[in-house]
Amino acid sequence: MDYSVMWFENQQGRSAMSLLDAHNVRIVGAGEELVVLSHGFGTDQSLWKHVVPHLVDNYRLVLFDMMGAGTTNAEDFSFLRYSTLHAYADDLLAILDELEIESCIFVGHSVSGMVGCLASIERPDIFSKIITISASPRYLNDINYFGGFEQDDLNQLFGAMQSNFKAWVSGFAPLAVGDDLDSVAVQEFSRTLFNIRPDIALSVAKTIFQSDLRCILPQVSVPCHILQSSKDLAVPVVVSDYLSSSLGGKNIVEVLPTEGCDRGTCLHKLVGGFILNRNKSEMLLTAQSHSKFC
Amino acid sequence: MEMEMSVSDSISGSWGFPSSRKHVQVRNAGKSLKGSLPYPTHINDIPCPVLSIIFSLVEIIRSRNAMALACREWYILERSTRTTLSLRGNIANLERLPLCFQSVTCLDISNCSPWGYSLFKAQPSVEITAHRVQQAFPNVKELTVYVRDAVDIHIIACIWPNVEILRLIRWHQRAIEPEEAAEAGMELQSLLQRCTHLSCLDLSKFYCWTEDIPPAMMAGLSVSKNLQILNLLKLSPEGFKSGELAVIATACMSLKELYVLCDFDPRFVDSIGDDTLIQLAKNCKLLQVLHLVDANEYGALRGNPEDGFAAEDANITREGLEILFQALPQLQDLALVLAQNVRDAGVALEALALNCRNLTELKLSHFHGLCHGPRLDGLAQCSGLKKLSIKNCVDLSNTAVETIAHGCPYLTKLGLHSCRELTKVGLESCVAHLSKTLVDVEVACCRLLSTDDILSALKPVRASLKRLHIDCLLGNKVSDRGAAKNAAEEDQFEAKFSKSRMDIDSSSNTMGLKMPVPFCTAGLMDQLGDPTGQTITLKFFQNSDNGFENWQHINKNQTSPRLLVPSTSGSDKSSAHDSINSASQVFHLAREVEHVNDLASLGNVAEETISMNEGNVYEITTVQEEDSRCIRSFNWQVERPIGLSCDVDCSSIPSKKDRVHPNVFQNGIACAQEEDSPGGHKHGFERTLEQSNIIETKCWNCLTSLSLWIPVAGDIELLPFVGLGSCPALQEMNIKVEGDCRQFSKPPARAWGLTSFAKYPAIAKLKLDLSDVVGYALSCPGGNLDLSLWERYYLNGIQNLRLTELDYWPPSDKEMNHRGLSLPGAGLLSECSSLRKLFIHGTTYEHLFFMLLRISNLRDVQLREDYYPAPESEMSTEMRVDSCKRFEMSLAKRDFPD
Repeated sequence: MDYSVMWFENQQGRSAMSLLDAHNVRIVGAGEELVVLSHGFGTDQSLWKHVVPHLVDNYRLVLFDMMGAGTTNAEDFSFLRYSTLHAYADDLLAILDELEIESCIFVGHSVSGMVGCLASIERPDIFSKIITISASPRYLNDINYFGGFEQDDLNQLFGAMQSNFKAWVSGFAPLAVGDDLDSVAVQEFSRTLFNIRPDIALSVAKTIFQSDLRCILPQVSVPCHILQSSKDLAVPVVVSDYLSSSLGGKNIVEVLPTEGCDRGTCLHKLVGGFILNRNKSEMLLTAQSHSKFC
Repeated sequence: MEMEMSVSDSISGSWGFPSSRKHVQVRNAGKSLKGSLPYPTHINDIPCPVLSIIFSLVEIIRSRNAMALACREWYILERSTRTTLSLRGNIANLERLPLCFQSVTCLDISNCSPWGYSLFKAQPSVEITAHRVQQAFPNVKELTVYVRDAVDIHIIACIWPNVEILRLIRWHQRAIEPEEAAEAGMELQSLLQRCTHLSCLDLSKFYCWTEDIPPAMMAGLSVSKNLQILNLLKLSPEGFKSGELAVIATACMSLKELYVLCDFDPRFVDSIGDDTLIQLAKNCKLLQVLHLVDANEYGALRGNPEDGFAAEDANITREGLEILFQALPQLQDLALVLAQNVRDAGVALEALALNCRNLTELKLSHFHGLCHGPRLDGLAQCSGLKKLSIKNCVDLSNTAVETIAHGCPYLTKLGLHSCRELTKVGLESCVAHLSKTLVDVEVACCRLLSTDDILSALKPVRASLKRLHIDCLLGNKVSDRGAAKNAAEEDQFEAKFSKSRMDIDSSSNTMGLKMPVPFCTAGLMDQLGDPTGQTITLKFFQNSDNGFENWQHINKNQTSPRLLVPSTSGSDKSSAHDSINSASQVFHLAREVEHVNDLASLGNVAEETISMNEGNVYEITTVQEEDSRCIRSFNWQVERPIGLSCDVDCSSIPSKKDRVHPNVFQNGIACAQEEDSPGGHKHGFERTLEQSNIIETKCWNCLTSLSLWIPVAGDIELLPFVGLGSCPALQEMNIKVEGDCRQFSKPPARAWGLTSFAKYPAIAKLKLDLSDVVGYALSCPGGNLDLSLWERYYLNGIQNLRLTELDYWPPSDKEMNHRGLSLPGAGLLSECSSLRKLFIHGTTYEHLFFMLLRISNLRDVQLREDYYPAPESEMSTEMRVDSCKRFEMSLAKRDFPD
């Protein structure tokens, strides 16, 4: 537990400072190898708080908040810019460049996993490996593709978000929450989305559900480790198989049973679990595990 | 000058001294400024020293602020008499401190937002800031301050070396970086070396380790041996070990008050036992207040009422306690709150009574056999006790409680928690004995005492009670409620009543009966042909001479006299009735009394027993309250063994289309009656049996503070109607909800029922503690709902209370150590338009936080991450330093209406 928190000093001038500040970048840990931990939408870097203590001794961890998260300044969020996932990938690269990182392991949860893949296409040299947790290239069902979400479910989701948005704009209390929705998959997915400011939430939800990154998967040449919960409500297990077969580089799929805990797809458990319970952190994050890649 | 006078007039109302002549003059002067007054006495005619004394007596800060605005002299006077100051704002702005409060002796800067900063590191230059602070408050004797690390403490010690009373607060984790405070005790060392006048040190809200304290005490031996008050209650999740306590006792010889969180668990090495107590007593002979609280028992969750003895026996024996008591003759206030058994404590307590003659307060937990001393009195020997609290006493019987009530006639506070043997009889007689003195009662978690029992047992002190804590266990059967909802759709009439329907558990005659409830239309009654046959006693209290005739009048109107028929509910058409267990009864007031003549023979109070068949015995007391001229309207008060009262309203339907309820019900349920009962007209009488409060007897005139414990899916909607109907002085409520909502798939209703508290006119402060409502945050398994929905359930309706102060602990996910405000929670809080102070004991996202800005009266908002284990840095929760800063800035930028 004995690790030091170090704020990155202003070395690059003002703009650099504000970029790192805007994303609340934090670097912890004493190890040689760099690990970038990237949270999914609706959450923030505190998602990793139970994971960090197990990694700080062996790795240097880069934690940050993605733009649009509840912890960033909503003023900095540009609706136009963040209407595609590419913008988030650009942000990620900008942060890594700012920190002058030459090589890192990227851990991305949920949508961040795909953001990492996008970034790696642009700059494959920076990423030595990508670990995705519950990632999905497309959430909507399609012909020959099962993403887990039907258009009807989404319409309901957008409806609820819109009503929150309207209430928010007119000065009332937005009271709709993810749990009000019928579909369990949408519930699970949207739970955190409702924690974002209503206007941003609506925009982010649209961005996520409009995204279809299936076509870029073959271009990803960086080795990928795909972590997936067997009981994930929002991302079906078949998606991980799809990812595995479509990704351009070496990859390995690991479906983690969430045994011993009755919350089917608690992402925290998943994140904590794969390091804590199974004590796989070494294997997953060090070079030895490369031999496992197919 | 005109402005000055109007201000002085406006503040004159808040001056604290009674009927001063000057006071009156000020009033007059203010009012008649424009008119002509023979004596234009001016407030400035008061000589300055007198005025200064007057000023110093004003305690209300807002009045003082207003006074300071009156004119320059007043301003100077006010500032020079101001002795207490509580600062708010961001700690980073310390260099902008006002210099005008030179005479402040009691300073509280703990409310300054510590977000992101340690107290002095945030400053551009530590020295300048420290100097500035020193200049601004040179005379501080009493200080409350939020400190983050050793540097802060060191600088505090440098600035105010003469401080006498010091409270340190920290909810961030203890710094563990080697350069700051690696060694145990380093943080406090310099404090205890420099502040030589320190007499009171309060670390109860200072998050650190128990290992830190003893070395610090030893290091500052000269200071610690003069310490008089030391509070070490909740600084760490673990309690102090025997060795640590021994060191503290050795170092602090002249302690008068000691509050320590201890580790009594005998399974652990170095736990506290007899030896430690004896050593403590030998070293600190001057102790007047001694609180030893086990770490597991401090703030412990409500236990299971069925729990018996604790799993372990404490290492504390009768002999050890006797030696302790003998050595501490000055003891006034003793708390031994253990999580382990101390058996046969009666003997030791007699020693306590013998040795500590000044004892006025006593708090015991897991002490058994309290009244089994050699003289069979035990605890009851402590006749001087004013405050007594007994927790987890397995064998505290009714007689024991009565003995205590006899033995300690001056008790003003009585707390009984988890006393499994105690029944209503015992509580009743105890309260009756103490009715002259008792003002503060806590009864909780006693398995044989229902909420109704407690409330009815408290009848003798109802008018004088000031503080009350009870468990609120009313109709917490979710299914009943749901069923009642169904019934509502069927029958509107029923719906009005289903609100007040409670299950009546008649399986135990003495105390199980909870509530009356039935509301029965004549149509329904017709379907209930089958009297189940029970013995019923009717008592008639008549308030007026004509009552008797009224009574007869009813009888004339009856086609065939029947009796009150308790009937099983199963035959009812309403599904709600089905859900009530078969043993429960719904009373149907059907027919009346044949032998009314007895009434006359018994005078105004007649008692009549009519045996129908075999069965239970119920006692129904009927009080006729109404003016007898209102012939067709009656109110009968029906009283059951449970002590609750109901009003029975009988009025003849044909004669009144728009019937006005004869009694003025304040609770609003009764008023909502409607005429269109199906088939009700043909019967001639509509009978409504209503649960209500009789205003005269149920008024809690002095009750100012009410504290409630409520299970997770418990129902509070009815509380104001069952026994706490009228609390005109109730200002403050503490609500603690506890339980695991993961066992429910969803909240039982849309709203919990906070709205119902809106009927208490004076309520202004609420502490709503949902921190022990445990659920899933952010994610949860299929079929369950996450906490945001539960939060919405609990907070719904809070906007209807006219609160000015709210302390709110959001529900938490303990596995994730996550406690935060969710979207609906923030939304609902933001609609409480009268809020002035809001403390959220958890975190939240920035945009949710910003919603609170909609509350136009809001002045103080604070986000306190004061849960354990404390978040190690601001980054480990949803809130960022910048976010919080932005919020504070926008709050400060706003204009305040006053």
